[in-house]
Amino acid sequence: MSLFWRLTAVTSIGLIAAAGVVVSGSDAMAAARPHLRTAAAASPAIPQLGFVQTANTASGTVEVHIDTFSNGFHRVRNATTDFSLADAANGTFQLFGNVNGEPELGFIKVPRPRVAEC
Amino acid sequence: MQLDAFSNGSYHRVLNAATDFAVGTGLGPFQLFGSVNGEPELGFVLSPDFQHFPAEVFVDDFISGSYQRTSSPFSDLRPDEVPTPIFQLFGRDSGEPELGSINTANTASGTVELHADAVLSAGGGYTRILNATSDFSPADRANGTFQLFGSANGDPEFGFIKTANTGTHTVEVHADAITNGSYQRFLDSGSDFSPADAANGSFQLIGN
Repeated sequence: MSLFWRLTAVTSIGLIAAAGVVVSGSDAMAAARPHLRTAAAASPAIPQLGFVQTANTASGTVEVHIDTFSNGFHRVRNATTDFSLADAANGTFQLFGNVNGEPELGFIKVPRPRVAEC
Repeated sequence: MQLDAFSNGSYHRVLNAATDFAVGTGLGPFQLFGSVNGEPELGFVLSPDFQHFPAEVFVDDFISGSYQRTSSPFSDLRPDEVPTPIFQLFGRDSGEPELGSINTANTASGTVELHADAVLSAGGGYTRILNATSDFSPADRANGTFQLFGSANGDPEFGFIKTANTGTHTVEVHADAITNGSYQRFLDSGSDFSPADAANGSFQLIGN
């Protein structure tokens, strides 16, 4: 259980965007991001906290655990995968995106190059 | 590249795809970002000798069953301004991912600094669009990992997952958003993860 949390309002972001002021960078930045000038400002995104467990898992597979923020971060997902713990030595896992409310789990496999045999 | 999606209580494979990245050339770390035709893009920042040559970003998109190179622009980050950068690809406002560089050492401001580049014209290189200070200390680097996520107002949010020396004795999430030209704290929270978990896997922030 979370022992503390603090969520600070950041209302000045809305004023900056509404006034059409680019807070940093150049005119080129504004050209690349026209929504900075026109769109209603959004609140900062509160992320989920994901954990890809690749060792000492109860299931014997790679596991995904996810906390969502609601008055502190709390567990909302514990899931097994079809990746093997042994995969972790050959690449990196990454949580990303959102499909039906759940992040996807990607594995980028970068096998170690074979050492030439004498 | 292999991809699992969540269904019926667990993660199951939905994609197995080869890439055109060669093995054994010191590549990494790779990053997934964005989405083209429903599949993530695969990027990599190459900076084998950042002190003398600019970093180069390689982007693969999923095309006809495999990941194939679609662009490889150069960055304008200089080693004198970002001596030991932590590169991260994020968003896709201008056709290419933006390139973030988190600077945690020898910063002019004495705080962790964030620089961001974007490709502003097709076929061009990266151009600086953001230089910002934060309220994180360079000393924080020893206690966790920094990460960019989300993009509420055109700029990414800037998070720190603290896994050591936490006041709560849990893994903590601290997050900044940009306002008035600098990144300022909007979230400090504990979690129900233990710092000991860090030895058994990797944490990351998942933006909305």
